[in-house]
Amino acid sequence: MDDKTLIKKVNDGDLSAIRFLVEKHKGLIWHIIISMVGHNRDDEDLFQDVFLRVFKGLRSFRADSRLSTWIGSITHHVCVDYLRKMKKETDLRYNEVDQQSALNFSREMNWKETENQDLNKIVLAAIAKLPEDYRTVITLYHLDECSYRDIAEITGMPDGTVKSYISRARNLLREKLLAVVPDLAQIMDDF
Amino acid sequence: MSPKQINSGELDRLMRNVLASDVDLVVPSCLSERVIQKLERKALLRELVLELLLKGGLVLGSLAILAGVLMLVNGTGLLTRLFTRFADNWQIIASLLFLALVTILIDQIGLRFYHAFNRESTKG
Repeated sequence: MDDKTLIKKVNDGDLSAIRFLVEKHKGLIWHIIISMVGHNRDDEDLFQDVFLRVFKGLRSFRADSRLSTWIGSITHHVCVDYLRKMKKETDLRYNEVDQQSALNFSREMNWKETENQDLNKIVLAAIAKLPEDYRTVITLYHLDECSYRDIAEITGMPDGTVKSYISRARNLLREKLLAVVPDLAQIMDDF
Repeated sequence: MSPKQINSGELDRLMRNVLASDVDLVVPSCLSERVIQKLERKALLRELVLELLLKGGLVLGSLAILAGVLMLVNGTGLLTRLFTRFADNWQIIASLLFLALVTILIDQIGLRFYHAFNRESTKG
């Protein structure tokens, strides 16, 4: 079902279309929430809040962008609002982010904790310790297969920033993984 | 193979595989079901309210047309008499209208909403 038909059916109150909408976009929404906010007591409320906003806003959706990126950007806004409300540190000034975060990341990563774990856990631990913006961007890029343009629309970052975040996140991960698993290239051949 | 030989493509493949296998990134099934039910309820309520408004509009429109016809046939005399009668008994008429409104709301929205979801949950 294409976006236009889906939107029309949902606005007409078609219950199966509502189910389809949720099933189709739940992954994207959940990935953004978990990568930005993490698992906490409010993650499920945020998920519901996003869908209620989508349902409410769907009547005024003008289809200037794809439905998935519009939903993604609503999710991003909901998470940013939540983080602001929770007074967590989120640096939304994209140009200033992350040289410092990257340094902190290098220092904070306790590789002793993970040295006995399998590669999956090591990589997940490394991703979890990435700065929030890097984490969000690489999750969208790798897991939801969003393009640079889609990620830029979802997060409100310029395209170039998205590209550079992905590249920096990759370099950080490579550096740290190699420090823990020197024969990573060998292992990855069997992965 | 030396560590330096890990290229971006390989690293991307690794990240993709690892993220895809991360159970934390899988949406809990009960959660999406809960959201679907909430949205379905909202959609149904929206539909019922819209339907009621349309019916209300239809009744008011019909009354307006009837008043127009009466005015054309009898002039303002009959309408003035009706208005005076309503004004004299406004308390009882307001009470009756209120009762009618509550009954219609319960019948057209409350009961239909309840039945629709009762049927859904029985099916489920």
